[in-house]
Amino acid sequence: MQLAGPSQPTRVLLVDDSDAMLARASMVLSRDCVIVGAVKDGLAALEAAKALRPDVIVLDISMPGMTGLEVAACLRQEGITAAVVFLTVHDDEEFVRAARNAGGTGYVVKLRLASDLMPAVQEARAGRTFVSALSS
Amino acid sequence: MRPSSRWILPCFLFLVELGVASSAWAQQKQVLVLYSTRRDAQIAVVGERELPLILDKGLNNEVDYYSEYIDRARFPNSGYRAVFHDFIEVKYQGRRFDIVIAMDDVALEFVATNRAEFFPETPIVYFTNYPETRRVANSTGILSHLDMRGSIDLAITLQPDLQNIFVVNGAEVGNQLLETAQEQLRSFEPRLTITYLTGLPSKDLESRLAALPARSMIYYLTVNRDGTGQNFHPLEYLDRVTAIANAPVYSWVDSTIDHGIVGGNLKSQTVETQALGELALRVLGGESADSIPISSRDLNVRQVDWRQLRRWGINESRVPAGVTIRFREPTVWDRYKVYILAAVGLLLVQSGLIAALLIQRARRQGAEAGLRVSQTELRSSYERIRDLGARLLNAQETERARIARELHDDISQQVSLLVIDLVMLRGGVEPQMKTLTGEALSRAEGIVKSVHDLSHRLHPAKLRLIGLVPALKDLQRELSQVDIPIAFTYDQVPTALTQEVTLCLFRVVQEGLHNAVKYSHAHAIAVHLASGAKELVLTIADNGVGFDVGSAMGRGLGLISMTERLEAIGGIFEIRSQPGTGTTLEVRVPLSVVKDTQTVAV
Repeated sequence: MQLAGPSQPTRVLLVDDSDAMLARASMVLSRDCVIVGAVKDGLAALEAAKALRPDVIVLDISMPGMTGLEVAACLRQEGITAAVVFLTVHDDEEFVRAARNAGGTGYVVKLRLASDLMPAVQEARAGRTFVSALSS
Repeated sequence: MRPSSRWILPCFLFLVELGVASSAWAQQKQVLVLYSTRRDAQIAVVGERELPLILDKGLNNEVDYYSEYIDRARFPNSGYRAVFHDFIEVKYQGRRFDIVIAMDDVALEFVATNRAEFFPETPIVYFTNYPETRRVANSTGILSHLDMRGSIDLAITLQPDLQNIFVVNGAEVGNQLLETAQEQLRSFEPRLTITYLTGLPSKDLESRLAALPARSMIYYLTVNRDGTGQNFHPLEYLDRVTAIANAPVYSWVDSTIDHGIVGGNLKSQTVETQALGELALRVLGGESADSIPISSRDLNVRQVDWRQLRRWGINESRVPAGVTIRFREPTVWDRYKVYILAAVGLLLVQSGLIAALLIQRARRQGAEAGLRVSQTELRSSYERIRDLGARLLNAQETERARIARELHDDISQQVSLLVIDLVMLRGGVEPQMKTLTGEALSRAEGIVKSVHDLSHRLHPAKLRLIGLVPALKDLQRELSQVDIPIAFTYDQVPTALTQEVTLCLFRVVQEGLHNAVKYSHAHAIAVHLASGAKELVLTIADNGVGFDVGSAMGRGLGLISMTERLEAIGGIFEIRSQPGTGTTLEVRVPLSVVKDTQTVAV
């Protein structure tokens, strides 16, 4: 069993249906984190989360099949304690509230991926929340 | 007044009357009619009825009329003849007759025999049935030929299978009828078997007549006396014969026609007597008897008794043309023709009415069936239209959701990537290019915003992703205006609602708020969503001007689509409004529908 500690790089699982978005997220995070997996839908995310035991799961909301919000709820039900950082195009307060209700600790609007994803993952690893500045 | 004078006038009058009477008596014609038969024989009855009438009429009542009856049938002995001679001699001594009418041959023979003694100058008028009868001096008469063959011919026509003729005649002597019959009927042999039942005792005759073979007829001549010497009136005897006979009876003289015979070519005694009376008048008028030739006349009339045809089962159609049918009883039809026709007419009218009613009923039923069919068609067509409407709404929603999602998940994503890349690139570009990069970045961000707004207007992603209440809050925010604040409250709203219910309620609120804001001139609008025990209740109330619900329903597309959407999920809605009182829209959706199709939509 691998214990998460400050000395070790953060293990991150990426979940997004867009390859391009996965590539950008990976590019932003790979300097300080270990990308343990990158999957493209909710079911694969649940399996990967169980198998790879990431510290942080970066989770898109709008995906084919299960939504990211549903995946987060399932992860909690499955007893997986990895911190969830939502990465989404929804620049909206109601979504932030829904994400928080689903157990998310971070909320990053995709427009702010370059600047906000890394801090959000780090905050999540540290057990704190991070929310991108909303435009609306 | 003296007693003697009392009698003078009546005595005078009596003498005057006597004088008148004696002078009239001197002008009277003295007429003697002599019958060959008994007094009540039919020829005598007819003669006594007809002759006085004719003579009185022709002679202006100046007739002194006498009649005598020889009755030879009952008194055939010569002694009677002598006594009868003496009776006439004594009775009419000194009387001079102007004419003697001899009825038939017996009478004529008496007159001829005693002519010189009693009637030396008197002309004789007579009738006979037999051409061989000798004409006497100063006489004239009528020969009426007996057509017995004609009677048999008629019988053959009525009974085509006729085989036997039984001729009935009495025991009296000197009856020329029998000879005539034998002579005339001979021509039918051997085709027909002819049996003469002459002079039989009545008992024997009756037993014969009651048991005649089939295909027989009886020909009745006359019976004055039977084989036992008993005397009979010929017509009364005929009554007995026709009563007991088992075959039709025919005869030769019309006096028999109402006595049970079928018919025959019958001599008319009335015509015969009348002709004789006319002949007598001519002679009395001064014509010489000898100058008038004997007139040979056919006085026979072919006739049948309708009742007897029925008795013997002879079809009336067999009766040849020209034969008189007598005693035809009016049939029920003849008697009640008017009533029958009226009844039948009434019946026909009633039947017609009944038929007309039935036809009308059938037509009405047909029309009702047609109406039912067209109602059914109308209903199914209405249902098709409603179904189509629901499909259209559904298709529209689906399409809008698809486009919204495309915009949001694809285009928005792509532009987001563009923004991300621009941000990443910004650190590496020349300082003079930073402004340009910043512009590209903000333009890209503007596109993301526009696409997001467009997508949201088409189909809010929130509905699917985070539920009804957040979506309604958005609506509240979007549509609130400074002068028309919108309040949104909710209570106990289930988290698990189907996409259909969520979308439906969202659209209803959208439409309701849109209408309220646009038309109500309200100062406040309140939306409330609450869950009861069995249903989800949504109300949208405003304090605006209100409207006439009855006239507005069915006009606005918004209300129609609201109805359609709600019906699709089993919901109902009610608008309570009157001009000036504001409007409350209340929507009820059963929770069973909501729960049955639960899906996870957090």
